[in-house]
Amino acid sequence: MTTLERTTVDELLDRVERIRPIIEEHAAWGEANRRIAPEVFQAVRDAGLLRIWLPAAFGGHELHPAGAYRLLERISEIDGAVGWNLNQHAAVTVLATWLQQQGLEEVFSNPDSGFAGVFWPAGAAIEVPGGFRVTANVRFASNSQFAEWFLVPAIVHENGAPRIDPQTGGPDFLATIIHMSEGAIQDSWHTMGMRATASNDVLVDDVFVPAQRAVRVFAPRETPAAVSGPLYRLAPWPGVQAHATVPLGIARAMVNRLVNLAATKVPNFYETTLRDRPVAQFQAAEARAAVDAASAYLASTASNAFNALASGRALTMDEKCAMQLAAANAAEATIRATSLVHQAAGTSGMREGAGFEKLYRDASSIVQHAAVQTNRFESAGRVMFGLEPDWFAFQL
Amino acid sequence: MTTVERTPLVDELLAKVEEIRPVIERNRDWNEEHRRLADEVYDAMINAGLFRMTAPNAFGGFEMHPSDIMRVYFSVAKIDIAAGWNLNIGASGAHTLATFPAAGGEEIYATGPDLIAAGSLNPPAKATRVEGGWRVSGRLPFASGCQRAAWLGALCIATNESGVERDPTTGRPLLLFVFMPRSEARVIETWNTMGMRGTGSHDIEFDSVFVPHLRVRIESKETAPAFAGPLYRTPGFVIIGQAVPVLAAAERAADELVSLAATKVPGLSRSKLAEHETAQHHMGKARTFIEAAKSFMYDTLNDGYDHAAAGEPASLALEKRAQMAARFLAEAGTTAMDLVFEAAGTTGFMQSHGFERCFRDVHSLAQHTGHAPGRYASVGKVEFGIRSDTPALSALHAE
Repeated sequence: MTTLERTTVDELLDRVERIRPIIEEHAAWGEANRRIAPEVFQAVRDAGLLRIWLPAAFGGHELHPAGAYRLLERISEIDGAVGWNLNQHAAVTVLATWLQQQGLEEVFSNPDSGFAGVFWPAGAAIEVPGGFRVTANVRFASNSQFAEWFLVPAIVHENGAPRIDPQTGGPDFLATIIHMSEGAIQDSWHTMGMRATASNDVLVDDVFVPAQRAVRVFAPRETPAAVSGPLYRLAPWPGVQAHATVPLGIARAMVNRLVNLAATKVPNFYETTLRDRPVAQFQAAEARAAVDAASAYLASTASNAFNALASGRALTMDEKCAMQLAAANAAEATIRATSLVHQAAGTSGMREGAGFEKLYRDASSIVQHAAVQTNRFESAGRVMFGLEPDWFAFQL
Repeated sequence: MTTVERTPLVDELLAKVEEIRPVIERNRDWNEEHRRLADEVYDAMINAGLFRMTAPNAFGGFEMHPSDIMRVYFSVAKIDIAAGWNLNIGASGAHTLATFPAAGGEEIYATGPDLIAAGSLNPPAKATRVEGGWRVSGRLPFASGCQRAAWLGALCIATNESGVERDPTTGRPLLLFVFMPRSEARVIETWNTMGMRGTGSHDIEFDSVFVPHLRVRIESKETAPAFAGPLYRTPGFVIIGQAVPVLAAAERAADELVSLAATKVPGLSRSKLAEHETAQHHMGKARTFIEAAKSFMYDTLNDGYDHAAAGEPASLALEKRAQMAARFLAEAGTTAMDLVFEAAGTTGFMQSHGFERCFRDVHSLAQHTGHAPGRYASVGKVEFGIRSDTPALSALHAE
């Protein structure tokens, strides 16, 4: 990481601190209404945070992944839902750099546009003159309420059946980007945790996508100069790993709250404060070690891969595997840390308003995301054993 | 181990639980929403005879074997954890009354064996001596079922003009346990929690309530004649009963995973969840923890009951084992729950499925002081020969 980039990250971290009161003020509203308050999104936008992974050529910050992780983790520490939606936005901006020059110019014309979308499951596309018509039911579409652009995966169909791409031998898999207004957001997000992310289903019904906003993901393609930096050659890994920053931020918030609680809480049937109890000391320390270690692992694997690309060589499977392990490990560390904190907090861990139960619900929900979930240990294990990968990030 | 234990009566009661299952099930969401157990569920459990399981024979109760009582607690809690918990709390008044003056039990059971009690221990209320008894004032949290209970119990600390009254022999503050009719106390609705929402574990508050001596227990270990049976001297009956719903909810979630695995095709996968070896591992491990905890529980209760029935006095070894069993039920329940939750993937946190409520319930109840992780250290203290920190274990510490 260069000095200049560190400065950008530090400056953005300062801006996060400046909007912290707005985020905190609206957190309860977001939880109750199952979406982020518009004021919060506006503050995030005004702070320039939507630009973290936008190409510098289009006015973006094009941050080193490890710097972006710090930022996303900090925001998630303040509010997991805000961190999550920003991370989803940022991950999609990285995927959008797969477009060719014309498409890039269109979707990045305003560097403060919001992005949403998913990589899976794929809908269906039909090739028509000038582009495609796409139909999909997109699940878990976080940030869709604020986005201008929406990434929809689709497999090209011919005569009602998936088309095989002769170049790759696999399904003809497209990433398409539509105007968010062309999708219909459903009210389907009823969950235990991460309620404010509004990760609703979005119905996309026979929407025309011009060819410049569609890309054959698994096929070879040209890299426009604007998006030739190592960050974009690292895609999709920055996005995959960024998912892990949110559980880590939430876990860190829980550890910090335990430190505050321990100073004042006298547990039932005890005469001393929680902080005087060695078991609580052990639990707090082990939790913090788990979070800090996972955070460092994430940053170091990303930096290694980034440096490899910056030096002009391609990534090895081992480097990809390390990035996936670090992402899954972050979820595992979150489960461990939040469980320790929850136990140490005792009944304060379950009372609403005591500061722990929402974080625990959020953390326990977000670790189920496909990018970081246990199944990704399986995916990495397959790669370690030299088997065919089952996870798209290894296949790119 | 073991004597007669599974009697025809428990099979009858388990069949009754099946009969009232529809009533319990149809109130689950109501309980959750209203943060208390519906009266209809209480009524069904009373009519099924469930509150008599712990009541002494002398008062028309069933005075059943503790393992059989746990079987019924388990089956109810698996249908609805709030119902199982409130049954358990309501019925465990019998064990508290066992060491009260004989007339206290007689008064409280005068209306019949279907006693529903509620109460709390911490922080203790204040009690002052008055003619014929005590006056008590205080506010206590976690009084599960307090809106329905007939009697409320409260731990109190004796006070006089010069402050806390101390036991002349030990020098420790004098503690009393008292029972008062529910009408003497106010319920303050504070029960806003992650899980166990249907239990109505609100605060109770009472001000200068008179309690006659017969409803006051002062550090007594004397057992009233009606409570002379081994049920009331089985080590760990109460703390084990309080951990049972943790395991029951985990088993409910494990059963739901079996159903889910048969149909769900996880994202990015082409095969059903049931065919994923990691899911198989999680399923197998969860089931093993649940079954191991049940075996430990029944073995501990059978053993403790046999010793009590043989007239043997309480022992530190048996009390320690009972504490281990209570904690292990919670440990096994949370471990199994976490494995199931992880295997369920994103279905785990969707409100359209049952996993998330089980998760919230399991992780809330597992914090109960009777079986919280800190109880491992309570056991460890005994292992190291140090006076432990639970009432049962510290009472038996040999200097």
